[in-house]
Amino acid sequence: MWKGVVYAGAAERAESSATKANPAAVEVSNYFSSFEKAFFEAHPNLGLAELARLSEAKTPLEFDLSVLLSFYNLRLSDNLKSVFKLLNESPKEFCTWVNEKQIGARELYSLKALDTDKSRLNQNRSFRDELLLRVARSNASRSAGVQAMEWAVELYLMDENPNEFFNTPENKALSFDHWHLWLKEKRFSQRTQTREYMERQLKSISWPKGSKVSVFEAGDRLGFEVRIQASDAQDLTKKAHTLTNSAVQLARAPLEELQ
Amino acid sequence: MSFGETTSQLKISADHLRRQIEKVFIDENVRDSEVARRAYKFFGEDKIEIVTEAPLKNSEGELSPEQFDRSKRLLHITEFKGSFFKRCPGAKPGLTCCNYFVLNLGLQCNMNCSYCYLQSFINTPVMKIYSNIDKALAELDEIAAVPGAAQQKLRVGTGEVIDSLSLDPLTLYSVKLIEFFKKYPNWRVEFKTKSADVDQFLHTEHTGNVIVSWSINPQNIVETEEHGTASLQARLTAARKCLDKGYQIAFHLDPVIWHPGWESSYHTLVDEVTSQFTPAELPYISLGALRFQPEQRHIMRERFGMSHVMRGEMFSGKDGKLRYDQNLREDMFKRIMGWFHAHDPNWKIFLCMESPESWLSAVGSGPKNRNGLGELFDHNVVRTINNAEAASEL
Repeated sequence: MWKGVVYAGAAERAESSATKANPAAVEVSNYFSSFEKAFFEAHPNLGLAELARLSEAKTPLEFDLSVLLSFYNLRLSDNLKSVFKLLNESPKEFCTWVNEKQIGARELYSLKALDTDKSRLNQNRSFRDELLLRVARSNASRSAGVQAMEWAVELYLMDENPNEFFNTPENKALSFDHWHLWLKEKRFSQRTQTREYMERQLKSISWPKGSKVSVFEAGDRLGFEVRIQASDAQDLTKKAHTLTNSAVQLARAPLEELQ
Repeated sequence: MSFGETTSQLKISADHLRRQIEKVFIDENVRDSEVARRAYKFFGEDKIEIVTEAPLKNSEGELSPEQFDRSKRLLHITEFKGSFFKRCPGAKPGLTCCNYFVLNLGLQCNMNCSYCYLQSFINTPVMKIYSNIDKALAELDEIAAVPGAAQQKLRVGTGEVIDSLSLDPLTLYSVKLIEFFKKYPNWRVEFKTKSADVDQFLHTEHTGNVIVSWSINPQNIVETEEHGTASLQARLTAARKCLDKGYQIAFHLDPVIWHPGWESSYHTLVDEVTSQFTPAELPYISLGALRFQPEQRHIMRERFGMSHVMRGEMFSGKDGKLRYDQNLREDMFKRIMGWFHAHDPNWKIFLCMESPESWLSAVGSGPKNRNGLGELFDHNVVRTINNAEAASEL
């Protein structure tokens, strides 16, 4: 209760949070310097979508949203306002996913790009809703969900057919993990092609006996990882010799051919 | 120099600037500075507002795409309160970079490149020009006073967070710097630009220690990614004008942008450069591939859509920036260097902001071992200054 008015369930029902005075309610204005601080102490773990709803809440008490958000380590910037607007227009299931996975505002920035082309706004929003539902309903992890959204948005903006994303029989049947991989391979098609080529190369080359060879990806680097075990100096020399031959075979089919 | 704008190029640039800038804020305490007085004449009183605190202060912090766009239309003439003199940001562990000092004479750029790193860097809602260039020059005088420093080969660049010349029709800072560097013939000042605005300083007397450099890209990339900049040919023509007046010139093929048909675009660019200039006329050409901070991709996507820079496949590099696949970068560098050297093996090319691995793969050796490039990576100056600073702290 703040100055005689009870505020309850603000997180869930922000628009109707004020009720009549309740004798059982505690008057907290005696303990906190501001309503915003009192609200934060009562609801310290609100998710982004809950805060978005709060930003549009109609309450009888005027409060300073920027002060309130500062308690949640958020700055009421234009970017944050856009994210709040986006969340307030998003399917409820997606908002629940955002709150549960503690998604941050910046992790949703990729979706803002769908609002820039005003001539395709309706089309873009229906794509967005379908995308958000797919992510939410699969209960994707935070990082995989955020990546999938960004790759899908970029592919869509690169004029990939949106139907391919959700509605082909293959994609409908895909688990989230496989769909996530499908998006990655489509968005990074050159690298996928290079990696597949290297994997074929790897199989066609003779490596030192007992060695473990794989293709590794580490950020901007893609290459072969070769692990060799040697029992003694003689064995090592022998394997090093074979490895030199492997390198000669590799050099015959350089990667540049692909690029 | 007056605003007679005697050459057509200067007039075009000045007119463009007048159309682009909607409002000029001048801090009350610098209203009598040289650049503020010039702004009155250049823009007219209607566009000027005298302010006592930073304009649009509430918008400071991370800028939205719209705020970033607006910041290019609002000019703030103010004093710079910190230290002007900074080291090149390329000098980080894990990266090989040239020994280069940065002097910022403003913040933000009136041109609009899709890949511009200022998009992840700037958090002020207006473009700034610093009125106290004299303080910057005084700092350089202090450095020169360190025993031995004036004899070292110091390089000072002015185009890190603002184009060195695109606002020069208004500020004429180039003239001031050229005149200042006459005192220190062993030092070099570098103007780095994508404009063709050179006519304002061409007749200034100099001691041959001024490098005017252009960031260049194929014309198709200029059109799709480098909005509001001079065309490739206008940049090459401006470079020729500078050469004819005894200025040193340099080209930065940076950022090299992968796109379908990139080989043809960059091969044509190399042909254009090599047909108009000789290796003897250019001390070096630097080469760097597209890179940017990961968080920058969002504002780029919103401001420019999926242009060539966004369509490329970018991965996290060792320094945390997004870069093309290392094999692709090395391939691009090798090919571009090969095209130059097919014309003439004497072209001196170095990689900027690249890892030692890329150097070794593309060039076959590190920068200091490359013929004619060692001087660019000479860290004696830094050592001299650092030693002097350390001694003064003891």
